[in-house]
Amino acid sequence: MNFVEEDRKLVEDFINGSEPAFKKLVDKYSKKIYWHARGMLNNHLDADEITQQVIIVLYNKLKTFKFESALYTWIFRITSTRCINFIRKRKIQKIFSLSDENYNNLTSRNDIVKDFERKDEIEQIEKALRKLPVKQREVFIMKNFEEMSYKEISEITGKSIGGLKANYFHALKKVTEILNDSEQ
Amino acid sequence: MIPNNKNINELENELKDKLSSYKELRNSDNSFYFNSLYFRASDKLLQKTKQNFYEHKLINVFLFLIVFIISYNVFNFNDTNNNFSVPNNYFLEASLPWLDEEYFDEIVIDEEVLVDYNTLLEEDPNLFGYLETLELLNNLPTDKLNEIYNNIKYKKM
Repeated sequence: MNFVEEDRKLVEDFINGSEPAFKKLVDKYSKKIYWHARGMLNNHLDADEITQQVIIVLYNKLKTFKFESALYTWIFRITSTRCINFIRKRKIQKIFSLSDENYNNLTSRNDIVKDFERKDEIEQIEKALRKLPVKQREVFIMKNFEEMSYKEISEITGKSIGGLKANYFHALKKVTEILNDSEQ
Repeated sequence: MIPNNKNINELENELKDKLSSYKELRNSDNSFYFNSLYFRASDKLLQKTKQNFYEHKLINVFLFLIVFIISYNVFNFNDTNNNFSVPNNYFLEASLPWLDEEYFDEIVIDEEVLVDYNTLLEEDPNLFGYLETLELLNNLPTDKLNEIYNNIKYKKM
């Protein structure tokens, strides 16, 4: 059984009332959701919040999923939209000075990075990601970390493959420059 | 300008080592944290469901009260003959005048009006004099009527 068929089976079981099937789906995708959100928002607390929101959306909306696309495409579309809306809200808050300037540096006791040996390198990469425009950041994460094809990214974001390629190229260039500068 | 794959591959190779720590972290086992995420989300879901349940209950109670108050004002529950009756109260007064007027017209049209001329004459002995004058005026030709009107207008009478 391939992963698309496996997803279909789990969704059908969940619709028929199986809670363990939903737990299996969450186990399968929560990590991907979290890391996508973390890459977009560069902050553990916000990524944690977005992941919980997406799990809740999945629970409520999975019954309406028609399998016109792969489940992971649908989940990534929800996550991506949530992240972009979150960034917009944060920008508005910043304009009206409702949030702290050091908001991005917020840390949490249960942050995955906390006990990681190469913590400093992670911070440098997150800093570089933060400097990318949202569209470039999105394609960079999907292509580089999720290892998705341009076609898959295009299905999720609704952007043309040519546009995605250009965005990815600019993102690669900027991240390389930033990381090279930080090493010197 | 769409960049070619060669440029992209070169940059990807250059970044490969630099991003290895991030990829390592992403692939690390954090099952305890991700399990806790599921349970925290489930808890939120449960709270939301509970909240919705109570909100719906509250809305239903309010709806019931509103419907009850309206029905209590519209229907007369004390009517033992099981007939629908509209009480004369503040709630319906605003919409009732046109109904009253129609009802009044029907009474006036259907009712036979009986005038007690004896009493009327006792109260006003000149009544027939007025009535005669009125009849006379009604039968006057237009030119005569105009003449009288002009006399009154220019105070000749």
